Amino acid sequence: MGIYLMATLSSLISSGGGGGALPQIVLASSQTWVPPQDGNICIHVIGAGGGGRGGNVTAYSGGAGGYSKKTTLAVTTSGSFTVVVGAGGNGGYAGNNGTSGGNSTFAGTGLSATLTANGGQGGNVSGNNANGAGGSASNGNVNNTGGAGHELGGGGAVGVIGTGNSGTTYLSGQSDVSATGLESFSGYGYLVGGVGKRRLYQGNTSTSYDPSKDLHGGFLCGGAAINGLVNTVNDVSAGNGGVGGGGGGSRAAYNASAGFGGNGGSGVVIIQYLPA
Amino acid sequence: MKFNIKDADGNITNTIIANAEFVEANFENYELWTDPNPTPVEPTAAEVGRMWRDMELSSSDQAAQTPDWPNRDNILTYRAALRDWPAKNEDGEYINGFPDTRPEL
Repeated sequence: MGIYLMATLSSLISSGGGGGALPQIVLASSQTWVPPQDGNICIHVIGAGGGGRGGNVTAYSGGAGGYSKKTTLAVTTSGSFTVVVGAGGNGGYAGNNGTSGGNSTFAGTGLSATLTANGGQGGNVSGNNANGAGGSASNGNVNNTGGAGHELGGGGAVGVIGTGNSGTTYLSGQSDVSATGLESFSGYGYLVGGVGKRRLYQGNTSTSYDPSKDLHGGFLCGGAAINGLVNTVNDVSAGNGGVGGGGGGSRAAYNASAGFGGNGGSGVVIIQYLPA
Repeated sequence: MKFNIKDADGNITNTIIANAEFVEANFENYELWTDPNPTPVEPTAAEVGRMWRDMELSSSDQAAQTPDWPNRDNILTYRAALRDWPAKNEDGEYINGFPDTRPEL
């Protein structure tokens, strides 16, 4: 079942004297989609983020999903599209790797090739790529690879303008179209992302651990990692990725059985009707 | 719901969000996804208190073993209070404020 949202920007412009508001449609689950009205649409396909690794000598984070954008496509109410939405990768626990995020696709009437945004890789300890790589994308006018996870910083971010941002030492991956608090202003072919989160350093006493701190990434952003240095609590949990973002890794250096990696953010397909 | 999509050999090729009707109509091989992780366990106040006490004792070991360590007498008193914390009465109930009231240096 799809979730239908009217973009705030669309509503504002419409109320200023234009024609009827143009819908922005968010498809958060796989489905067969039929356009509710004729027109030109912009399609954003976002793969799911990989999960972070749980509990190890360092916090290996998940990569973000890929991003495929079809700038414009003419549709009618007689058309039909098959939409697949990738599920976020699972964060690992107790020294286990995070799993890869699912692939999102969009195919149907008028498209010569399936728009594909692959899921990001989970945080892992195999090979040289311990942090998850970002997912690739294909067949759109824009095809960007997601940001890789960052050791200790957090999950990668979805790249809307170019390759997605990885995290930094203290911050999870942040969207390259970030504008805090203005995410709802996405519309008319453009997306506005959220912000990354600062990783949590647990410190060396139980009193410095604040499990209520929000480590979850904003829209298109990675979840923050958690760096637990001592055995002061039973479980430490890294942040989940926002939509398409990689999950943060979890480090519990002296209690490796106690770390949960963050889950990767789920994929999504966003359809924006365009002005004539 | 989340489903694992599989190829003919049973290998997972994708994990998606969908309802059962969509998956049945579009894929031949699939299974309902299940979470392999246990539910996170939050520590009890008593567990947190004991871990804090152990850390305090550990971090003051050097002070206790060094005769001319500054403020050593108070540190030794503090460590004795830590070792007596928690304590229980004859009915098995915690006394001396455990786990809410911690000894102070």
